[in-house]
Amino acid sequence: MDKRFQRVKVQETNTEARYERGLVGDILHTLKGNRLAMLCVVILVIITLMAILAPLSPYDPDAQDYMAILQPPSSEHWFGTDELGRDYFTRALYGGRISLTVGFLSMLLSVTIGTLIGTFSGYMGGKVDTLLMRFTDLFMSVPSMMLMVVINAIFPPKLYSVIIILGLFEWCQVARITRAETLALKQRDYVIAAKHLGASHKRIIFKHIIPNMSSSIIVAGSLAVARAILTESALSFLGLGVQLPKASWGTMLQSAQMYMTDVPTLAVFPGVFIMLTVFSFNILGDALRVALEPKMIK
Amino acid sequence: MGDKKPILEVKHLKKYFPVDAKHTLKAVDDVSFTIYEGETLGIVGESGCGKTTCGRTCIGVYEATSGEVLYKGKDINKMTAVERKEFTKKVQMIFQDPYSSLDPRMKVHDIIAEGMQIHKLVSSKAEEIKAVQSLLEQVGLNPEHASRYVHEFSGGQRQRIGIARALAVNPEFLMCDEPISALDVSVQAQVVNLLVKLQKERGLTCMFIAHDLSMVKHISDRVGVMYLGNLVELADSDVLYQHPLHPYTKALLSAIPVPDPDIERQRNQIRLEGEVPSPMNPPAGCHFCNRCSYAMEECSCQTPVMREVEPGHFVACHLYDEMK
Repeated sequence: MDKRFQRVKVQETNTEARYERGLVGDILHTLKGNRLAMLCVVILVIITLMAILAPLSPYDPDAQDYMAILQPPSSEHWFGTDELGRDYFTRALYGGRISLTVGFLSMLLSVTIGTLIGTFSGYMGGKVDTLLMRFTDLFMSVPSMMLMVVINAIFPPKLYSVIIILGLFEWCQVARITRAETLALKQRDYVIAAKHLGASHKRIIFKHIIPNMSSSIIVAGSLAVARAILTESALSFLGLGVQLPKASWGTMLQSAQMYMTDVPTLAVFPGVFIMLTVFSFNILGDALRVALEPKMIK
Repeated sequence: MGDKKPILEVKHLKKYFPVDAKHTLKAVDDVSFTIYEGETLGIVGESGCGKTTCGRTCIGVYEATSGEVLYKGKDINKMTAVERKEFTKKVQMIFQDPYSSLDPRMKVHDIIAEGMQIHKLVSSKAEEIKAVQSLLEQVGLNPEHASRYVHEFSGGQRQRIGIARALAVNPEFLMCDEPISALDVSVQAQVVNLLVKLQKERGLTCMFIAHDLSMVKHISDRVGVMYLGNLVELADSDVLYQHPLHPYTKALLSAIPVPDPDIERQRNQIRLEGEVPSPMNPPAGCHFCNRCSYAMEECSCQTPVMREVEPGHFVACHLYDEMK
């Protein structure tokens, strides 16, 4: 066979394969083709595993050792010790637990709220849509950091309250994306068909519209995790996030600022963790967006 | 047909779409016709003349701007929620595009079973599986296909899935919106024959929208011709094809190519001048007047109404005014 024909054939099989991949297949394919995205996944898996396996560390994250304060990194204490002689590596791992938990749970909350409001708004259209979207705009134009500071000042900050507050301020982006998707999806013939089969609005929204925008939701979710981790760090840095002695990367940064000139590693380690995690989620989100959106248009 | 019982009566149906503050698109402008039980009414017309909108408005997918649609004597736009649900069970539609009309995230089984679940036609999962498999067989697909996703099928197979979905609720009336125009010619015949077979078996009434004139002749008992949102002629299909009255119908029919080059070269084809005017700004009077070679003075000021010039043969044209 002529070489050119073979090439066409290969291209055809590729397109065919594209059709036959599901959502998970599409994501895996993207990762295979995009080295940077793959690296980000590896980083995230390592950080998550480290956080999950933190109890394996020989040190107690809260155990103080006054004989060994503010030590530089050594083979005994990989990241050195902090001002109370706690092993900094162990603390960073436990901090990762908190930061990642806050990130994921608040993402779940914001994605759920955002998807529900966005889909409902887009689906209903008309006055409901206008009203809900102006409400969303209003929410987006509030200086959220200030408001979070105020709310945290009124309610004593706990882990779950931080999660809820972050979730409540992050849903707007998701709502806008899902609304736009819904506007396009509700005009599709299969939605009209379902409507004409007598399907209820609830059935159409949950069985036809939301499953068909799952890729957009995944992208929005991965970006939301990154934002939530950043905001949580910022809140903790201001002393309004997770409270001591519990460590999160943000609180570690806060405690480190007093010793910035003497022991800069105290600030560097949690800073690097935050940066790597947020960076990875952002890159991953962008890679997924590029990979998954053409399929939505098709 | 001796005892004609109307199943769907359309009276002065209008459907306008607002484009912006100043303009409205008159997709369907004062259309009236009746479909009788058991027959197939074909609707033909060129692209953009409002066929699809007319069909969709007739079965309540779009809300009519004015006019009424009576299904078995009941106005479909004034139905209660219960009546409305019953109506969706009785009236089903088949879509033009077999790609966008099936949910890509659902399996074939779930697509076909959806109607049965909504109307609670099956009581158990086993019964549902059996019903879906029998439907798949009826439309000429392999029952094992039920567990696949739709992207694994070709256009013709997808259209069969769409037909199975419509038939799952045991409808009486089927609105086929250009069900074959997106398909390959060889597949078109298969799907049309399937539709005809199913219609006979189940005693369905059909409204068949198409722009393929010979296909419409093949399957319709009566044919309506639409031009720019108006129904211009309506007659039994044999009568319409042999003895068209409206100038537009004549031009349309003369555009059907003859599969013999000698005749094709010699025959006198009516060629229409100009373009179809925009439905946002149709000409006054008869919408066809600026392209009609028989146009008279009154054509551009007075809108012709549908008249029954011969028994069962309706036409909207001033040329036949004096005959009444």
